[in-house]
Amino acid sequence: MLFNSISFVLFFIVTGLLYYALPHRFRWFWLLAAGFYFYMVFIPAYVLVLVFLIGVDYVLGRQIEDMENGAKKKTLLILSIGANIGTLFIFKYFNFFNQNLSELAQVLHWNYPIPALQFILPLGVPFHVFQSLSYIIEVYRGNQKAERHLGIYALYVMFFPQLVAGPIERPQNLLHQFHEAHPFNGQQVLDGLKLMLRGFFKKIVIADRLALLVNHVYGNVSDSNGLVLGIATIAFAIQIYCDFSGYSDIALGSAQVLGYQLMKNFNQPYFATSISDFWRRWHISLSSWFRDYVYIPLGGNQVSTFRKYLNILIVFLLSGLWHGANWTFVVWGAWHGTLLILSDVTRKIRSSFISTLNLVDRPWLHRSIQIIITNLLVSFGWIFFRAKDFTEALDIIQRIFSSLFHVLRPDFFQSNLINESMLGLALFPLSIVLISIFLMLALEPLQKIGWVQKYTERLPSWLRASRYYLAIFWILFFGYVGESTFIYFQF
Amino acid sequence: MAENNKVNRFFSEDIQVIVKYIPKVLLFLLPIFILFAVPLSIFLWTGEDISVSKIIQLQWDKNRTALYGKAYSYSDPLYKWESVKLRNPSIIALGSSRVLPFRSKFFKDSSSFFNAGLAVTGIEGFNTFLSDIPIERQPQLIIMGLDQKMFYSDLGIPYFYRTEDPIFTQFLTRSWRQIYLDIFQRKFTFKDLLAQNAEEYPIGILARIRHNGYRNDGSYQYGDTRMQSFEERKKLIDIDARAITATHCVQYQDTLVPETLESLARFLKTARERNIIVVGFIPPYAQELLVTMRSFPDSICAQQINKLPIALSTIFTEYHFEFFDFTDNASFGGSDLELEDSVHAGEKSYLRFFIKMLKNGQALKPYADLGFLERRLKNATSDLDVFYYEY
Repeated sequence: MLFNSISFVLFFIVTGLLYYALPHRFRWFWLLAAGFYFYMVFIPAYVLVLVFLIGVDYVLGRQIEDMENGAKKKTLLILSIGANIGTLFIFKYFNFFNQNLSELAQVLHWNYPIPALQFILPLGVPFHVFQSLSYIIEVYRGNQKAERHLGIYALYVMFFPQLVAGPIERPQNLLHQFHEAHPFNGQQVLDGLKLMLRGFFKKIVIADRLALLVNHVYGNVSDSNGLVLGIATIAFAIQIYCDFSGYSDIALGSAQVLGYQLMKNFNQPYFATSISDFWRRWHISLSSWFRDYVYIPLGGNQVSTFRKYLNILIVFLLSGLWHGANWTFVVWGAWHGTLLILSDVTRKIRSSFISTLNLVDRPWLHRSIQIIITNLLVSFGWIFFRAKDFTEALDIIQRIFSSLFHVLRPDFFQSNLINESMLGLALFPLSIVLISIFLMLALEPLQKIGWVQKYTERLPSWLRASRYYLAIFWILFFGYVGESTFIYFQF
Repeated sequence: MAENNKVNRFFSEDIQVIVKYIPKVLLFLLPIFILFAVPLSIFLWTGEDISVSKIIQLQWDKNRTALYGKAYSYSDPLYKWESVKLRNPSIIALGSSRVLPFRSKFFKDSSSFFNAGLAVTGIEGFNTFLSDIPIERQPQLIIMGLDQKMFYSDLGIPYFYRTEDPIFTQFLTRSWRQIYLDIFQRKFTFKDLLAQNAEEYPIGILARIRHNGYRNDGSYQYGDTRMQSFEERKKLIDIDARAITATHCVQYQDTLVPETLESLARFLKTARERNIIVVGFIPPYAQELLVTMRSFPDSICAQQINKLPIALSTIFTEYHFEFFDFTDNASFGGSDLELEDSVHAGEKSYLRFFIKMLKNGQALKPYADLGFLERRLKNATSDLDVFYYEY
C-alpha cells in the first residue's frame, strides 16, 4: 500500500480509530494485523520472507541472551547474521554477482552454467534485514533484552509506518514503546498529522511533479543538452530528497498519531556545510547504522590513518551497494567515501585558504560557500545514482561539462538551449513546483526559530488553521495524481 | 455499572476523549467537504457516476435514446464489448471512431445492427475480438473500418480496455479538479447543466451540455458540431489538416508495416472459417488534407492514398470479401461540408458510402432497403445528418 494513495488514507483512519478504541492489551495485535495487511497488499506471498526472518531472529535472540559469552554465543550471532544477509543476498544481490561472474567467465572463455533467479525483490527487505540485525547485535552486546513476546517482536519488524522504507529503527528506541500504554493525546495526534501533511506536500506536490521532468530528461539523454541535464540533475537532487524525506515524514507522523516516536531520518541535508555534515543529515537511520555496526567495529577512527580511510571507503562502498545491486550505486558510494577522505586530507590546506580569504570574519559568506560546494558535490554524485548505467552517467557528465563552456559564449542567451518540451514539464506546473520548493525551504527553518514559534502560537486559532487549509488545498489542487511509488521502495 | 465494566473490557477509555474531538474535527473538515461537494454534485447530477452495465441496460430498455457521453472517465471499449455480447446483433460495425456514423436506420431491421466502433484499438484488436467473442454470440456480418494509420504503426494493443474506470476513486483523485478547471475555463456554466432536451436522456456531462455521445445503436452523435457554422468547422479542419500533414507527410520511408497486413489476413481467414461475412472500407479524409497529402508524392501520406488501397484490396479479394476505398469523399459526391473534422465524415457521407456498398456489392443487400435509403439521402436537409433523432 502506498502512502500517497486513497486506500492508505482510508486504511489509516480505520486503523487509527480502532487502535484507540481497543484497550492497550489488544493494541499490539491490532497493529500487527494492520502491518500484515499493509504489506500483503503488494505481493502477499512475500510476507513469508518476513515471517521467516522474524522466526529466526526471535528464537536466536532469546538463545543468545540466555547464553554466556563464548564461541557458541558467537556462532548463534553469525547464524542470525547469515540468515538475514543470506536472504538479502538471494533476493537482491545474487543476480548482480551472478551476471558479473558470467561476464567474467565469458571473457576468460570459461563455462558458466548458473542461471539468473527469477525473483522480484520483496518490498523493504533491505530495511527489515538491517533493523533485524540491529536487534540481534544489540542483544548480543547486552544493550538490549531479548524480546520474550513473539507478537511484540513481530510488530517491531512489521510496524506499518516504517515497514517498507524505514526509518531503520533500533530496538532500544522502538521495542519498549510497544509495551507501553499510549493514551490518546490530542496534541500529539495533531503534531503527527501536521508531519504527515508536510510529507504529502513534499511527495505529491514537489517530488512527483519533478519526477516528470527528471524521467523525461534522463529518459532522453542523447537528445538532451548539458544545460537541460544539469537542471534535471539538480531537479533529481530535490526530487529524491522530497520523495524520501516526504515518505519519512509520513512514517514518523503516522507513528506519532498512534503515540509512537520513530527516529528522525532527515535534518535539512541540503543545508549541510560539508560532506560529513551531509551524512549526519541524510538518511540518518542508515548512516548511523553503518557507523555503529560497520565503521566502529572496523576500528573507526581509532586506528592508523590508512586504516581509517580504508574503513570510510568500505562503509561507503557497502552503503552504495545497499542502495542497489548496480555498479552505478557502488560508484556513488565510492564518490562519497572519496570526498570524505579528501576533506580529511585537505583540512589544513582549506583552513589556511579560508584564513587567507578572510572568510572567518564573514561567517554567513563562508557558510554559503560551503553549502553551495557541498550541494554541487552531492548533486554530481546523484548522476551515478540516477543514470541507468555507468556509460550513461559518463555521457551525462561529459554533456554537462561541455555545456559549461557554452555558457561563456556571447550568443548563449540567444540560443534555444532550453524550452518546455526539452524539460518535459510545462511552465505552469514548473512554476508550481518552484513556488512549492521555495515554501518548503523557507518554512522548514523558519518553524525552528523560537520567536517565530511564539508569534505563531499567539495568532488567533482561525489564522493558525488557515495555514493548514492552505497546505491541504495546495496539495489537493496542485499535487500530481498518477501512479508513483517512492524511490526508496526499490532499495 | 456491571454493563459499563463489560464495555470497558472491549473498548478503551480513549473513546470518550476522541468523541470530544469529533465536533472540532468536523468543523475543521467542513471547508474540505464543501470543496468536494460542488464538483460531486455536478458529477452526480450529470450522471458521470453511472456504471457501464447500468448504461447498457438504459440503452437497451428505453424507447427514447439514452445518450452516453462522459467526460471524466473512459470505459467506451468495455461499453461496446458488453453491448455486443448482450444484444447479439447480426451486423456490427467494427473499427475506430471512423466507423461510428453507421446507424441502425440504414438497415431494414434496426435491432439487427449495433455500432461497435472503438471496441478495438489497432489492427490486432480485430483478431482479439474474433477470438474472444463466443461462436453463439458472433455476428453474421462485420463492417470493418480500416484506418490508414493502422497499417503505418505497430499492431496496436491486442486486447480491449475491457475494464471500467474506478469512477469514485477517479473522482477523488482527478475528476473533481478537472470539473473546477472546466468551470474556470468556462467550458460549461451552471445554466448549461440545467438545460433539458426531451429527445435525449443524457448520461454524462458531454451528453448533457454538448449533446455528444453514443446513441442506443452505438453510433456517435456529434451534437456540438451541429451548433457550429461550416466556417467554424472549416477553420478547425484546416488546423487539424496542417497538424497531420506536418507530422506524417515529412516521413518518406516505405513504412507500410508487413505485420499489420498479416494480421488483417489472419482476421479474414478466421472470419471465413467461422462463416462471418466481412465488408471492409477505408474511411475518408478532408479534401484539404488530401490535397496536401498528394503534394508530398513520395511520403507516407501519398502511400496511404495510393499504395494502401491496392494492398488491402488484394487481401480482401484473396478471401472473397468485399472491399471499398472511400478515401476521397468527393469522388462519391460528398464534400467537406459533410465533415465533422478532418478525418471524421458525418452520417450523410456514410449513408452515401453505404448506398455505394449496396450497389457495388452483394453482402449487405439482404439487410437494407436501397430505395428507402436513396430517398432519405435525397431529401436530407442537413449537410451532416439524415436520421439525427430517429432511432
